[in-house]
Amino acid sequence: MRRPGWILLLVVVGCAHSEPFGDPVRGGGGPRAGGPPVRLTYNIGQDGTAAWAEDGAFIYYSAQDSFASDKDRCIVRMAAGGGSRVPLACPEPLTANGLTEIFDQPAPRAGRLAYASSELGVDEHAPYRHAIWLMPDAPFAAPTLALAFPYFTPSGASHDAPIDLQWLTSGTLVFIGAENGCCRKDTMRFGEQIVLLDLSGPTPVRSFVPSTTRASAVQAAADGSALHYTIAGDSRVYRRVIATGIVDTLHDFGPGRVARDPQVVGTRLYAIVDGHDGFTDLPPFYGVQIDYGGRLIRVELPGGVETDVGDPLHLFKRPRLAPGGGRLVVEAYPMSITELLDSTGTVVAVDTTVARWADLWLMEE
Amino acid sequence: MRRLLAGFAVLLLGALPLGAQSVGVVTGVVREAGRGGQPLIGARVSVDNGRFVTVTDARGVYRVRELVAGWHAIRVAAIGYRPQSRDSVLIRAGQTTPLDFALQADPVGLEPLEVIAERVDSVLDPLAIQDQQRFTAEDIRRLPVSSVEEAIALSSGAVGESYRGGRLGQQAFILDGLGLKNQLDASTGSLGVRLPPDMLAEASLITNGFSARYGQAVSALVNLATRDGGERWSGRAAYETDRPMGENDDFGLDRFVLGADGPLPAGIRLLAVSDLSGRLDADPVNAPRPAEARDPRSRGSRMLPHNSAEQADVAAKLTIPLGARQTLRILGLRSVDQRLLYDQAYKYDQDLAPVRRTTGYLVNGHLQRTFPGPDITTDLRVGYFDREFLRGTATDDPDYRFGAFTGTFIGILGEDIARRLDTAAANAPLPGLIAPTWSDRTPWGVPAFFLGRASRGGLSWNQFREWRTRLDASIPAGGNTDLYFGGEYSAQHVRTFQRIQGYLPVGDSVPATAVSDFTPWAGSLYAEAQGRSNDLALTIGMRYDQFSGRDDLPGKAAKTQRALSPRLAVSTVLKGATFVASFGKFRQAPDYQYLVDAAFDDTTRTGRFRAGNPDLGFEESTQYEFSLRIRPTPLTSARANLYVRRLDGLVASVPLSTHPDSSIFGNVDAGSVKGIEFLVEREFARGWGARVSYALQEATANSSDAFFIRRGFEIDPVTGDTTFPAKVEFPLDFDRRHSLTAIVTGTTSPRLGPMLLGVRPLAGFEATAIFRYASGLPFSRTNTAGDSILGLPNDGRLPSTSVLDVLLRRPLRFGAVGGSIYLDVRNILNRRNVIAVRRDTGKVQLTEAKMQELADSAYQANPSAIPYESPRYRGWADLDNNGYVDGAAELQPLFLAAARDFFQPIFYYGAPRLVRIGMEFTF
Repeated sequence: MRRPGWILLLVVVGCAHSEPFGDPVRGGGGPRAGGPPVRLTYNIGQDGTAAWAEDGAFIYYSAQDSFASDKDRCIVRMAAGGGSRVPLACPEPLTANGLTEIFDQPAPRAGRLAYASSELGVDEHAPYRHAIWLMPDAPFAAPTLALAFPYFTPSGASHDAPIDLQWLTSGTLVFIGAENGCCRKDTMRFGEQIVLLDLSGPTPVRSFVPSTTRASAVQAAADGSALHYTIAGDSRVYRRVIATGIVDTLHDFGPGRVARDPQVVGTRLYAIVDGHDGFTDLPPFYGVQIDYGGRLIRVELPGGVETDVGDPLHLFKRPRLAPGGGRLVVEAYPMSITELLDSTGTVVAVDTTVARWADLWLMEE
Repeated sequence: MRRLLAGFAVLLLGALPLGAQSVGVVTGVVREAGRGGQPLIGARVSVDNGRFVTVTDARGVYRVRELVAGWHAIRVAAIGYRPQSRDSVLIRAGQTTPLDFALQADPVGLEPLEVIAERVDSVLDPLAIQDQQRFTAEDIRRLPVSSVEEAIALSSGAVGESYRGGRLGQQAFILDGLGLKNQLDASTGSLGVRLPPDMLAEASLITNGFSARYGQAVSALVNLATRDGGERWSGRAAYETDRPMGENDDFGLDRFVLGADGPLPAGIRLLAVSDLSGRLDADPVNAPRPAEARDPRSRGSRMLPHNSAEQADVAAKLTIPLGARQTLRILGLRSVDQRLLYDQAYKYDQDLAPVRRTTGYLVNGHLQRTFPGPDITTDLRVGYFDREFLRGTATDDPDYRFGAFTGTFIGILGEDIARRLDTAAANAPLPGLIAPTWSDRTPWGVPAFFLGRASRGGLSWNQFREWRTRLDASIPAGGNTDLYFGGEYSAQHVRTFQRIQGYLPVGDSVPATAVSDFTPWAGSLYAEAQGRSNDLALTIGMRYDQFSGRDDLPGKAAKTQRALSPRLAVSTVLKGATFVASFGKFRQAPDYQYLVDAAFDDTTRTGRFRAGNPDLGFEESTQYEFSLRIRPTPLTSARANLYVRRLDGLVASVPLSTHPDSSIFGNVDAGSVKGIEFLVEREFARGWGARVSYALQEATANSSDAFFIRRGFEIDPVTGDTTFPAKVEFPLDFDRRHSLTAIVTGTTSPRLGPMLLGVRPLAGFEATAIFRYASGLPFSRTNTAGDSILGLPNDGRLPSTSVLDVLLRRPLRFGAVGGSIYLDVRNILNRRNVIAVRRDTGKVQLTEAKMQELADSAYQANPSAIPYESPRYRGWADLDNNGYVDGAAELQPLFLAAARDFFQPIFYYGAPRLVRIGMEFTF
């Protein structure tokens, strides 16, 4: 029995145990068939403020969980071609803190994820208590506060919220510091200024980009050398070289048109123009830009040939070009146009209704 | 450590009297051989080569007390007679072993006569007044059990770790004569240390009027006596597993046992044992598989995930002779029990379910000294016990390296805050904790029933430390009377931390973090006399106990509680029988957890907060018992015990104000236990033995546990009058009316069967079967919400259970070493025992109507469409393939399936058939 005994022992130890059932992640799987363009999200709530991963493999965006009783919005991630979203950062549920919270404007870079947060009291209409956070780019990693709002600029203006948060370089964030956050709504822009937030030192350092007062949108060039931005009520897209401070005009959409949300890669410019917008003098804020979405226009630089690349059933906001171009993700707001007829059947008015909530669409260039 | 050394220094300085529950007595008459042999006066009786020596009195009677339980060699010599030795006399703890000698006249000086392994009879000894059910190490080796606790649970009157209907924690452990108890939360938690069975000389359960030497218990004593290291080196290594059993019977078990003992220089002997056990499913259930194919439990392994356990018990004992009459014994024990706790709500987010870790250290020192002349024996014992409990959310997934063994402590979120008792940090949301939400990882996708994203956020930690010193002495007082007296002092340190919903700040609905840090102490004195006159024996004792509880409350001094507990037993020998009548009052300090505020997240207990009561007094019981023991044949014995026990002052909760969540612990529960037990034993001889026990019992009280709110008065809702309802007694949680346990063990002849290839395959087989039948335990019905009890508590009964366990062992030779292989099968018939039911239905299942109602309710709460990109989206449920799972037609079946999944009965069933194959090597 000598050898059989030891052999039996080795055989028994060599057997592997069975595995208990696991906890597989489920969902819709890969991209839903159809397109291009591909509708990435079908969410009934708001999907927006998208951003691309540095390598173009993922899209980050803010999604409103329609199941949550407080309609919070989470930062989620999705494969660039579409599929199931993965939540990365979510506010505490209403039951936990009595607040509706919005996490949006995700900005991934070098393993870090920056995002903005705002809170909405149960009885409030406009968000308040804005902040910028940093966290490792992993689901539900612990965030750290990068910047709390409000603060005052050297000129005495109050910045209450960030807009278009993104990385300029791996150590510096850029955003538009928005005034009058007391009444902030996504459809309205007040006085604003582009701000750089240097996070490379132990303490975040703000700097304010001159001559960008009332900026309505900003995009950092991929190499961090320049800013592309628009001004409220203005038809032009500007470029400012960071190193020299030189400002030039990339493109002018012409009188009476309001340009916003510029995206520039190489010789192509995308921007939102026209649509359901306006610029009015709304005391005490003097110039207020109202924007329910517009047409998505591609411009070939430097010639300036404009092409409407959107579809007629949607208005668009915040296009985001993939690194290197080639693909673009954009917020699409379904639009319904109703012609009002008189008793003779003559069109007397046209009513345009734009949905409050957008879905994300992926377009190929 | 300095205190530890100081304690042992004290121990070494002196030594005084008495024995304890780890020791026994041998007594008998030395006569001249032959018919009508005369008693020999002055014969010298020596035990273990002279370590204990006495001489016979004028009637030839000798008596040696305070022998450590185990095997001893006894030699008797008288001038002119041939000396006689018995090398293997089993002395049992707390028991008198009668042993007579008949010496042959030897005028020429022949060689001593040696008698090996003579069986002695103690059943009829009237001085053995205790109901003691024993298991030696050899018994445990023969039984299909893996631990001392499992062996003790085979005793009559035991329901798991409840004894004679008592609550959990009403027992005390005696380890080598020194009390051992988790005084902090014994009623809801484990002891914290486990003695590896290979360390044992003997384990026994004492359920009747135990000696005045012992307190801290009102229902039973579990007496553990460790063996000493041997005089030559030997050892045992064993491995057992269920790896080869396949998916159906593999529950991830691996167990390693390694033990060795032998002599060291200077006469020191060492015994060391390591017992490591890992189980991927530590609490396997025999629940039926669900019919739904998408439920992962419907196929594959029957193991539950996130339900693993790893236990490590390491012990060592040094036996150090100090001169001719003193022996120092030092026992060290370290236990770790790390558990992942399956939570059905986290079935699909398993890593978020809780983790629990209990660690324990124990160091016991025992110095025994005998004095010649006055024949005094003294025992000084010092012990240090440290138990730590932690439960919360794991910081990382376990990294299993072999089976269920990780070899590391799993980190728990916030444990540093808990250990620091940092209430400032704890009252804010705990770092790393966020609120849970509905899981999106279920097969059904819908937001209902199952939780995800984060844990429930509970964090509990407590630590109990104790220094215990005990001094015992025994003095002979006349020929047939012994006096015992002594005392004990325990200095304790209690620290507790309890936080629920740690992802929220304290306030509003979240109770404040319950924290305490105090240093109670307890002391006792006792005196006992035991005498015998002809066939009548009398034991009378008195015990004085006191304890002092919380001393950390500002402006409030610690309150000291005091109590006297008399014990009395009379026994007499009738015709072939011994009758014992005993009376005793028994007291124990309440769990210290009831001196502290309790916050818990369990709405079935009708609230989430109990105020601690620093003025709690002793819990007590008064027991009357009559026992009859007979020995109808030399190999068989029978016992019958009839007992009545009155319980009083047990802790329960009482309302503190009109707020439904406001209540306080108090000594307000009272009840009674009545029962009769029958035990028949056929000692192992001629290849087989058997033990059968039956107990009939009724245990009732006003409250079922300490958290049950006992309302001493009620406000009449119509008249507003205060009314005092009668104190209604209802069944206690462990009121098991009938229980039957039958153990049969046998060995085949070494020459049985044909010889094949030089081996007789059927020879030498050892087999043991245990059959247990138990009537059902009581349970309470509640309303659907689970927050109100319907009718009287515990007025429902579970069905009866039965189980058959078998152990087969075949001794083998592995080259130069011996050993065996064995097959241990629990519940071999794979009987599906129901051990719990839903309180709202009284069955294991929800009704179909209720299931539908819950599903509908969940759907109404969350009727939103599920978009394609949502992790909740399930393509197979999108019947119209429009990119949404939406509408009642698509969503309601998912909610119903989720309800069936969530409410499927799992822990309502007992263990399935558990098979383990073992190999052991002895050297």
